[in-house]
Amino acid sequence: MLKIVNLHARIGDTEILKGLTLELGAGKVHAIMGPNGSGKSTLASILAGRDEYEVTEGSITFEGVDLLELDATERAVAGIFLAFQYPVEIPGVSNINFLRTAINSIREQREEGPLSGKDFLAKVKACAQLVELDGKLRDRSVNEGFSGGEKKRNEIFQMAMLEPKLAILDETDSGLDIDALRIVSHGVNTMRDPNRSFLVITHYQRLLDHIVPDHVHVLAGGRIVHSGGKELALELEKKGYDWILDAQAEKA
Amino acid sequence: MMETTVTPATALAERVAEAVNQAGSCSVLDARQSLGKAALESLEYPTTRNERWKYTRVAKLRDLRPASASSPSNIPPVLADFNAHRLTFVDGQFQGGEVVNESGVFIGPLSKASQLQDDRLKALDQDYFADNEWFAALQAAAPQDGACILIPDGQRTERPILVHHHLTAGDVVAQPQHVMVVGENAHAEVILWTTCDDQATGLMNGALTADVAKHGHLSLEIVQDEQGSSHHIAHQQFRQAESSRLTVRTATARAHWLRNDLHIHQGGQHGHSTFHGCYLPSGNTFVDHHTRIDHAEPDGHSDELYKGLAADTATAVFNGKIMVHKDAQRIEAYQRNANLLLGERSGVYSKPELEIYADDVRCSHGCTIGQFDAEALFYLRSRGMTETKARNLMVQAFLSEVLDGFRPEIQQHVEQVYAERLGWN
Amino acid sequence: MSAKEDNPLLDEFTRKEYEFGFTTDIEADKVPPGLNEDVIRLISAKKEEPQWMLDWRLQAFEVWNTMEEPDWAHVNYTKPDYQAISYYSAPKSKVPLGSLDEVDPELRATMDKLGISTEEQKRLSGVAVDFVMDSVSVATSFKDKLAELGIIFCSMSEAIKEHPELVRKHLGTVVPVKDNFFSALNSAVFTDGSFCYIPKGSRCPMELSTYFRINEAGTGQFERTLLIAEEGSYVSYLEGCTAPQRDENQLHAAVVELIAKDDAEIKYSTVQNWYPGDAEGKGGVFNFVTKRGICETRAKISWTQVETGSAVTWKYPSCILKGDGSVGEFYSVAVTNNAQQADTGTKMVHLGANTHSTIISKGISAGNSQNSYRGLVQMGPRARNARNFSQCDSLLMTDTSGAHTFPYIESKHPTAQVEHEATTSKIGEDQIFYCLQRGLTEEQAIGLIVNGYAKEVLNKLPMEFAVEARKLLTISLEGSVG
Repeated sequence: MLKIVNLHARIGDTEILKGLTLELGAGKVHAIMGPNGSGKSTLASILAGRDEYEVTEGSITFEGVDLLELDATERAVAGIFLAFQYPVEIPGVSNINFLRTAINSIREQREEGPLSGKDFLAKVKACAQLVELDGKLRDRSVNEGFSGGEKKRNEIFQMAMLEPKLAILDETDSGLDIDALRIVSHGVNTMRDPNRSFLVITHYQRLLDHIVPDHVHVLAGGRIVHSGGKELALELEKKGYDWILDAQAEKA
Repeated sequence: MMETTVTPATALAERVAEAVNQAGSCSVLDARQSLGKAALESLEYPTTRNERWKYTRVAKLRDLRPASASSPSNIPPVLADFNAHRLTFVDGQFQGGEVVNESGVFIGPLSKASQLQDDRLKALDQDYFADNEWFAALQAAAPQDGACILIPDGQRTERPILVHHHLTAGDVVAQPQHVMVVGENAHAEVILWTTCDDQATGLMNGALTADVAKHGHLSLEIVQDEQGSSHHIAHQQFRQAESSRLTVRTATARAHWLRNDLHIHQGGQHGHSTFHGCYLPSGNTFVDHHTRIDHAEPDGHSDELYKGLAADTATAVFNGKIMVHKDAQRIEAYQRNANLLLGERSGVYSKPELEIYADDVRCSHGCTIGQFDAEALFYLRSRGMTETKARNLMVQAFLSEVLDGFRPEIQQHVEQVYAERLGWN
Repeated sequence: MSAKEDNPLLDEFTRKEYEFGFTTDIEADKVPPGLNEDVIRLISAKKEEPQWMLDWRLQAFEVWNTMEEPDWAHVNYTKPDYQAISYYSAPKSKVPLGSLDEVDPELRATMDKLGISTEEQKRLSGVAVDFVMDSVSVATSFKDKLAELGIIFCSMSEAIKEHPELVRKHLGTVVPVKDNFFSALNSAVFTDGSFCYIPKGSRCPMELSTYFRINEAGTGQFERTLLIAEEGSYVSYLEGCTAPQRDENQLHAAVVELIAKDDAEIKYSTVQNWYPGDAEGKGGVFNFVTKRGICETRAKISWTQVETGSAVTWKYPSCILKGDGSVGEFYSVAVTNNAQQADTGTKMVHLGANTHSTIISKGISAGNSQNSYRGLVQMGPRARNARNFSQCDSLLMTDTSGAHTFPYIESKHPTAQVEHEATTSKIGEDQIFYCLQRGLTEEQAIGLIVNGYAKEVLNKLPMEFAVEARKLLTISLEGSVG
């Protein structure tokens, strides 16, 4: 579904990704773990098409299409969803109006007709239930005055509404208390589907107790340095990253 | 343009020039003087139809007949116990003090700096930027002596320099010229203190021009503690180079009729300017603070805060302009003006302005005019304070945001003057 | 990496045609260009006006002759040649019009194109519409229904004929002839506009609406609106403006006077979309307008404006808060793009005690435009316990546009309180990216963010107008991020 080959990227003069290679199959949950500053969030931003980053080498293909040729909107239309680490506030724009505009914009670009008001509202109701989102939050301005947990639940709510093929969760667990973590994870697990992949970026193993990954990758120094099954996450939790980094150094 | 029938106030300019010549002029900045003379020819005398003088009446000044300076009587001591490097001027003439002229440091009267032939002075002289103001031109055309402070690269003033200017009794006109140049990585601390004889009725039309070089820092505290019923117009111009810092704190402790024109030009990236002021006109007095900052280069920062009260029948004017030039990106400029209006017949006129020609900026201004918070006043009284005490405390609290920035000796002095003047002690 | 870099959107937008730039092909009855006493006599005669009206105009003309065009605003333009303008242009129609159905089909088509759809509005929303094209009022709907309530809503020409006592008593009392250069000019040459009278205690059951349109080339539009709300009455009034695309500048110098008697309330909303000129600043309407209202005891006047059009705007809808306890409000969104220049704001003059005013101004600058807020808040010596709150925000879309704020705040009463806040910032790139990631196009993202930014003001508009205003905002800013 997603294939990243030898990706190099930088912001300004600083090279952050240095030859990252990764392949995601359909219906799988891949977790990316790694120490701070290893390039995890950069990867998420590049996949979503943020243009502060310059890709200097390598390729990204999504369902056979060169992703780097698409702008941010086109990637969303293609089915890529990024749950932001820091969801932005948009004063004066209600959550519901925002989502309706987004859904209908995507449908229009996919040459599908707009969703009827009735269908839209039914969907809103179902998805809001999924993440226990208060009705009031739906009518408030996008993320404005939301608590940290509410913002993250709102991201998952939007994900459920937009039904992406690839969902990237960027540190979705940061700043969540245990209840919110449970709700968010429940939302994600419900969304798991043979046709949908997840890329879960996290610093801690805690989230992976709730969203059990098929594969775990370690990102360090701008590359994937180690991959394994779900048990790798536990091992990292116990032993930290140093043993992998040391093994890498030895290999080199 | 509305047709104006105002003719250049040549007569006043001539009288002032004559008086200055008699008393003694100081022509060290000769390029500036020529510019001033030329400008006087074309500029019009300000009237309330002129936007910058809308609330500031100078019509009466036109009839001023400058008297010859009386011999200096009692010059009030300023911060007597304070350890400072002192220079004293009376009516635009050097009166005495410690003159230093060694290894590039000059602290003394501008008239004695003439032997220096200093490039730093030349730069200041030739690049003088006028604000097209009639009174600024008048000063530049017939300048008198003032402090000259030159701090070379990498050096710093050991003690604060206290420049004291006193205006004597009668219709005396004084046009002092102060000059400051702070070199690269240099640091200067200066206090500029103005006083007047209580019989003073004349005009103090003074100028201060300062350059702060790369990574330099000028910290200036201005205290205007002027008795009598004189007029005072102060032209203050600052130029800042890359990564320089400028702090100007102005406390108008006492004044009969006063206009401050402060203009800061950030001509280098990463400039940092702080300018705070406080004022408290009471009786039938008038205080006007006009400020302007030009952010001409990117990444500059400015923080402006002016707070004041107008009591009795007094008038306070504030006009602050933030100008962000084209391509001066990533500017952060903040301005705040807060006023308490205490007198039934006092007035406050505030005009905070933003003019912005770059897009990546964060600028804001806020302005309030109001009165004491009745709730707070009641609260203090319910804790046993007399009304006077409570009000005094609230004035102090209101102005503390500005006054706390001064050194304690000055803060104390200004607070005491305010308390005396409001009769709340 | 993205399509944004070479910005085809911006390109496309700068070439974007003015959406309402069509002319209506109707034979017009137009006087030759130039301004002198004879032209004024001719206008007055064509309109079959009484002598007092002609005298009033001639006096105004005399005053205007002694005045100079003001230049204190933060705008730059070549002053119009007042002798090159035609001061009267009326769509030719032989028979006096009784109802909308009798209106020229061409004209009807124009109205439809403007989205007014009078027929539908008549049926669905119950908005009474007066339509002023160039200088003359074309049709006023719902007149009879309003008449039952004693409400007069008609063209100014008709009011001069039918209700001379009301016009004579109030005309020029809020905006005196010699108030300024443009008000004097308007007083001399105004050709039409709307007149509205709400009797004591009446609540006008529907929104009253006027559409203004400059059609003929080389004409000016000088409409005059007078709105009188008697004691305890209420009215909501809307005006919309458009003009076709023209290479030369067209002048619009209107005067609007509002009178709110004791306990009356007037809500006055404007969506101004005059032709702004092309990307280089060629053509476009000069919009030099004087709008002012006077509030008696406990009366309230609320101005709401959405300004997206005109090459140059000079406009300060104001409130004189004369009566104790009266309330003034000003809600404004002003968008400038390309070479547009706007200098707009309000004056809140607090004369009475316990008077309150609120100012919310949202400026949006794009392209190479200059957008200034200019406002006056004045607390007079009798304004005991008066209050004002002002919030003026500017949003910058490009580094070649300017956003300026010039507030004048004057207080002469110790118990009066004034609070003014202003901010200037750039449109949030994070916000745009967030929207793009959710599948919105750049235009949609900007439209959404800008509408959110302006929401406080848009919410003050009556429903039908709010929809139109939102669309306008989005249209005028498409692809304008630098």
